[in-house]
Amino acid sequence: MSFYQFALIQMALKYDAKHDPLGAMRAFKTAFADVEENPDWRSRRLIERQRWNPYSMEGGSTCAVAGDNFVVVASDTRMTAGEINVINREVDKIHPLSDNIVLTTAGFHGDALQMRKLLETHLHKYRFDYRSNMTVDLCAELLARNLYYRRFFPYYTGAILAGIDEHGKGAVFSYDPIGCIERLPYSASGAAEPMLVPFLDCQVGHVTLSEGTERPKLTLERATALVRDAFRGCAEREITTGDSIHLVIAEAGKPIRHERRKLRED
Amino acid sequence: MWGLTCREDERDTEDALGETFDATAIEAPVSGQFTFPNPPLGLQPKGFVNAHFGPDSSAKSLQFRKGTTTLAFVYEPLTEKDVGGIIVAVDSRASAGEYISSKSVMKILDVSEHMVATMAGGAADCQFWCRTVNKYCNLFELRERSTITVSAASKYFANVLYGYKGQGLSVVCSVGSGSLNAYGILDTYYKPKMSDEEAMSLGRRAIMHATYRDAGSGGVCNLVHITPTKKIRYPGVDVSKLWYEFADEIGRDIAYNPRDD
Repeated sequence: MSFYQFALIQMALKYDAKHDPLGAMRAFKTAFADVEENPDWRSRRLIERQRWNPYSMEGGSTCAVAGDNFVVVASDTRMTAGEINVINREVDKIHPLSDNIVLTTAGFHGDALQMRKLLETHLHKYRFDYRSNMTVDLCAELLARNLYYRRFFPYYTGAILAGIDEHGKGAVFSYDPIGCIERLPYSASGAAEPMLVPFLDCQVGHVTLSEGTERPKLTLERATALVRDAFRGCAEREITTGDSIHLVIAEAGKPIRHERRKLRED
Repeated sequence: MWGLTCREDERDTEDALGETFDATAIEAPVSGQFTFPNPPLGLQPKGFVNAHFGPDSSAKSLQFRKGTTTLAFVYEPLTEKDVGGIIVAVDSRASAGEYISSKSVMKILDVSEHMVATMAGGAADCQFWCRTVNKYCNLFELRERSTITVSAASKYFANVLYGYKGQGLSVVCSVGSGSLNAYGILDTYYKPKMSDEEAMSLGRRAIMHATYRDAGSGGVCNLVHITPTKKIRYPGVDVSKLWYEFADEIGRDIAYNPRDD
């Protein structure tokens, strides 16, 4: 029996095409879509395959704050399988790609590594072809496109690309898993995103401060301190975030600096 | 168990990095030949993506960004001073599931010199495909030495998207979940002839009311005015402030104070 026959029979059972043509058409379309999705020749093994899951949620969260001439990128170093099981306490989720570009990811580490490799290769090729380093804006667009190219089989990552742009200013680009790109002054991604962002909204963006409150200028010291505080807060309340903070600080005209701090031991 | 996931001959070859890596991955895709990689094993992309990134998936923080309210209308100038044209107004909220993942999205995307597209539905889908249409328009103008018409561009857009029918793309131009409220305002106050001021405030008002009643919309109201000669972008206005402005205008008190008469 073909799809068509099957769909037609299903439809004929329910609707009288003469008296309810619209209903019949609708029923036909749903039946047809259903048959296409689950054809009756599909064996048990094939149905089993449908549940195939290549991804694993490895938790963690990451954030980036841009300033006038610096950018601070931070992430925790815990890797979990699912929500509960800690499988590694010292994972680097921040990947410096060049002197002024830093990629940071949360989500599936395998995809993160693949993404890093892809970007590194692109940066290498760019350096070879144009004899100059790629700027962070270009790299950001490149990442957006490469994320979107996997529209139907996406990378399981929440990525943030940070760096120093060609004017020496800090830049943070945030993405969704399929490459919706936006340049922001600060951003966070991963499991603790809903905790990190309101904190940064208040302290960096000064969005939720009440009127008349002091609004200190964002210096490198303040940004690092804020980010550390933010992660300490998350480690208290979010299970997949913890162990230690990995901070990467990029300043205009200076090499990238790494900093590690312990978080709570639980 | 699941069948081959990589080609047999690729398995043992190693590149300079000492790891296997698909060399074609760094080639820029040739348009017309590029196909999006689908999930293996004949899985349907729509179902697959929904299962792992949809609202019922375990990855709450990895949902796709969605946009909502956008609107556009044409009007004729009322007096000599006005220019008329098209008003395009949008909100700026992008939500990922129930989380507001951004409140400053630019939802008016440039398509060509004199065209814009607004994004509602999947944010990444809109950004990517508007870029594709943008590229097509630029190439068209270089090739034909004349500006592309809006209908031609939109036809191209429609054709491209139709190619991905049934695969779960979500690109909506000029509507969205808050559109019902926006339509209400537009239908009530729209006049074919308006002054520029009036038209812009109508656009903003429609967006403001949509953001007020629709949880999926919010942020600032961005506005573009397309005149017969050029395209003017206006800076975003906080819709929360707009709400008070409009309430003042109609003389309404924000808090409802029942009075005993």
